[in-house]
Amino acid sequence: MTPLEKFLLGITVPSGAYVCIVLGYVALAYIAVIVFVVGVLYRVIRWAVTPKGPGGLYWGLYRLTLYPNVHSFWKAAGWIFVRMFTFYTLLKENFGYVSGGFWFGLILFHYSIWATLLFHGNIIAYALNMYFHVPLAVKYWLGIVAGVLAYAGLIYLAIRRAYVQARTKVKINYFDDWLLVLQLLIIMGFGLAAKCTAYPSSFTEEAIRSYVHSTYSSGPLAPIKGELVHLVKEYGSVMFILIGEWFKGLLTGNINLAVKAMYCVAVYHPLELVHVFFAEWFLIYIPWSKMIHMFMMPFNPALYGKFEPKEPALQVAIDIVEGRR
Amino acid sequence: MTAEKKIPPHIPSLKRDPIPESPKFEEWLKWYAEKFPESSKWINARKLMVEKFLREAEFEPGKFVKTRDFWWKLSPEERIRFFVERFREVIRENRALRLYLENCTHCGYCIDKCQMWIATRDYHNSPVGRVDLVRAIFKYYDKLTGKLFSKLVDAKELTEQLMEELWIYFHQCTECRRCAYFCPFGIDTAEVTRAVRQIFAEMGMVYEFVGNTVRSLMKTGNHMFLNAKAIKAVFDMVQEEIKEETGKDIEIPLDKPKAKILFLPSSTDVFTNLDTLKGFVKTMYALGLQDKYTFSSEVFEVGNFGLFVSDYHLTRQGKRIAEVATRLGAELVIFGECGHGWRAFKNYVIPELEKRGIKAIHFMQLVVWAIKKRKLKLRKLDYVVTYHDPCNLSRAGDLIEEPRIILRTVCKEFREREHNKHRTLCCGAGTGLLGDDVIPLRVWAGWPSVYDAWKTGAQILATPCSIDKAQFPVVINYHIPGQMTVKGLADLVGYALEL
Repeated sequence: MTPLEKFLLGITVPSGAYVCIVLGYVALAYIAVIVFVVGVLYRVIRWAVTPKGPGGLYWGLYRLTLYPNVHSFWKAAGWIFVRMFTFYTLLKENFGYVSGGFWFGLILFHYSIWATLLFHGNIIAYALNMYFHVPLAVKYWLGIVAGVLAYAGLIYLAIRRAYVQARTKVKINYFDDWLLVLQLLIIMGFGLAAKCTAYPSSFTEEAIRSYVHSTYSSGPLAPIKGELVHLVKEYGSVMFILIGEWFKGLLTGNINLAVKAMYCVAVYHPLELVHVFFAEWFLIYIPWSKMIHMFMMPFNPALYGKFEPKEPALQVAIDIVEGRR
Repeated sequence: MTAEKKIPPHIPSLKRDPIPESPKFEEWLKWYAEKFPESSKWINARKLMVEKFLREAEFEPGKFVKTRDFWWKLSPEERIRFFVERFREVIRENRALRLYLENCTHCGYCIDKCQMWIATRDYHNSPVGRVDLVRAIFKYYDKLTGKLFSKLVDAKELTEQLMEELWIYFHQCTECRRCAYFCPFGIDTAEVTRAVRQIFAEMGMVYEFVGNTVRSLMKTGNHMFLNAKAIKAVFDMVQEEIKEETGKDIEIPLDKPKAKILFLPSSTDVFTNLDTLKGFVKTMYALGLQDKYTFSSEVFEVGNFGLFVSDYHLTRQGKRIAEVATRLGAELVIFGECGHGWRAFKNYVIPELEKRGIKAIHFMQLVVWAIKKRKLKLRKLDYVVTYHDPCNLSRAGDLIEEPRIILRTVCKEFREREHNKHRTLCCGAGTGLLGDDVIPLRVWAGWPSVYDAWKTGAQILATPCSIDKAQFPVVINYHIPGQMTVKGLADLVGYALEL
C-alpha cells in the first residue's frame, strides 16, 4: 500500500456523502461496467446467432454483397476495416456534393474520441501500477487538444443534424437522437472543463508548488500538500491521481479507497464528478441505444459477403470451346 | 443552370441538381405541386385480389402464404395483427433486417443518394425515411422505450394508415442498394424492402406489374407467358434475319437434348430486344459452340421477379433452372443479359448448380475471354458509347470491368460516366416498377441516370439489363427524344462480329 493510499484511507467522510458516493460512484460504476459488457455481448451475440433468414438464406439469396472482386475472407475484412476507419464512402462525389465537411467532422470527432479514450487508459494503467510516463506538458496539451477537437467535431455534427433536417424539410431527428448528442455534450464538456481546471498553469517547480498550495490548502488533502507537489510533478494533476485511486479501489474491491478518493474529487474537482457520473450512465445507455452502431459493421452481411472465384466456371467454358470437354 | 431553372426554395434541392437540367423541368414543377407528397397513388395492387391470380402465382395458403386467409378477406384488425406478428417473427429470423433496424444513426447521408428522393423530394421516399416507417413499428412493438416514450422516439403503433404508407413507399424502393454503398455502416435498405414486400406478398398483396410477371414465371418459367411454339416462331424469324444480314444459316437451338451448355436469355429478347438474341446466337456460332448449346423453353428466362416478391418465388424459379440443367446433362449454364436476374442467379442459382457439379458464367465473361484470346473477329463500330452499370451487376454481381472491356473493343469510343461502378444510379424502374401506372414517377426517377449518360455526349447508352432496356427508352423519349439510343452489350457484339 502506497503512502497516498494509507492517507486516503484515513480520511473521514461524512456518512451522507459516503452513502451517496457508494451509490453513485461505486455501485453505479460496477453496474455500468457490467451492463455495458453484458449488454454489448448480448447485442453482438444476438446479431451473430440471428439466422440469415428462412432456409438459411437472405430471402432466398446465399449472400449479400456490396463490392466486386471480393473472393476471400481477408478481402472482405479489409473492406470493413477501411470503411470503419476512413469513412471513405462519404468522400465520393454525388451531384457535385463531396461530403467533405461531414467526413472531416466525423474524422475529427471519432479520432479525437478514440485518442481521448486512449489517454484515459493511462488512468487504468496507473491503477494497475503500469502507469506510462508522458512528459507532463505533452500529456496536458494532448489531452486538451484531443478534447477540444472532439468537442468541436461533436458540435459540428450536431449542427449538421439540424441542417440536414432543414435542407430536407422534414423531421429526421427525434428525441433519442438529441438525447445522445446532449449526453455527449455533457460528458465531454465537463470532462474537458475538469481537465482544464485541474492542472497547474505550467509545469515549472514554482508553478506546481504555487498551484498545489493554493488549491489544496484546506480540505482533506491539506495535510499532505507537500507530498502532492511531488505527485503532480510525476503525474500531472491530483485529479488524475485521485481518479486513478478510485479505479484502483474499484478494481481491487477496496470500496473504502474508492469512496475516499472520490470524496476528494468531489471536494476539489466537482466538474469531474459530473463527468464521471454521466459517463457511468452513458455506459449503461450504449448497449440499448443506437450507440451500439460502433460494433455493427463486422456483423453486416452486405459488407462481409464474398463471391466465389469465376475462373473455375470460365475454365469449363474454355474447355468446351477448345474441345477438351 | 439558368435563373428560372432553379428548384424553388420551398423544395429541398441539391448542389448540382439533375432535375432542373431536364428540358421538362417545368413539368416536374407542376407535377410536384400536384402530387407531393402523395406520390404513390400510382402504385396499384388491389386489382390482384382475385383467386385465379393468386392460384396461378402459387400463392396457395399453407404452401407459401402463412396467413389464415388472403389480405382482402381479412378485417382491418386482422390485417394489422398479421403484419405485426409476421414482422416480429421476421426480425427474429433475419440477421440483416435486425441489424439495419437497430443501427441507423439518422445522419441523413443516404437521402440524396436515392433517385426516388431526387425525383419526388419526399422524405419517405429516401432510404432512411422509408426504413423509419418500419423502424417506428419495430420500436413500438419490440423496444421498451418505444412503448413507454413512443412520441419521443418516434415509435408508432401499426394502423391502417401506416400500413398504407408502408405499402406505398416500400413499393417505390427499387432495391438498387446505392444507399448501402454510401451509408457509413453499409445499411442495405433493399433487405428491409424485401422483408416488407414479402410480408405483403404473404397477405396476397403484390404490385400489379410484378404480380402478373411472377404469375407468368410460375406458370411458364418465363416472364412473358411464352410457350415453346411461340419461342420457336420467333427463333425462325430471327434465323431468317441473321441469314439476310450475314449470309449464314445459323440454326437457333431450342430444347436440344444432351447439350453441354444451357443458355438462358431474357424472355424480352424475343420481343423488344431481338438484337440481343442475335448477338448471343452469332457469338455462340463464332465460338464454334453451335452444336454444343441450347435454349430451353422450360426456363426461357434469366430474370427472376421472385426477387421482388418472396424467397419462395425466387428459389422456386432458381431450382427450376437447376433441375432443367441437370436433366439436360449440361456442364455449363451461360447467363444472358439481365440485371436483377444476375443477382438472383449469381447469389442463388450458381451455388445451387455448383451442388450439382454444374458451372455457370455470364455471357460477358465468355466474350471477354474470347476477346483476349482473339477467338472473335470484331470490327470497330462507329459509335460513341457510354455504359450504365446495372445496380445488380455492380453492387451484387461482381461484374464491373467485363462490359468496359467489351465496349472499348467493339466501339469507336467509350466514355465513362460520372456516377459509375459502385456509385451507379438506378434506372428508376428496378424491382419491376415498369407499369404504365407509374410512368410519371418512372420518367423522373430514371432521369438522373439518363442525364448522367447524356452529359457524356455519347450516342449509345449500353446496358446489359432488360429492365434498363425497357425503362431508359421511355425516359429518353420523355426528356431528350432522339438524342440517345439504348443497346444491350450483346447487341453491340452482334453488330461488330464478322462471321
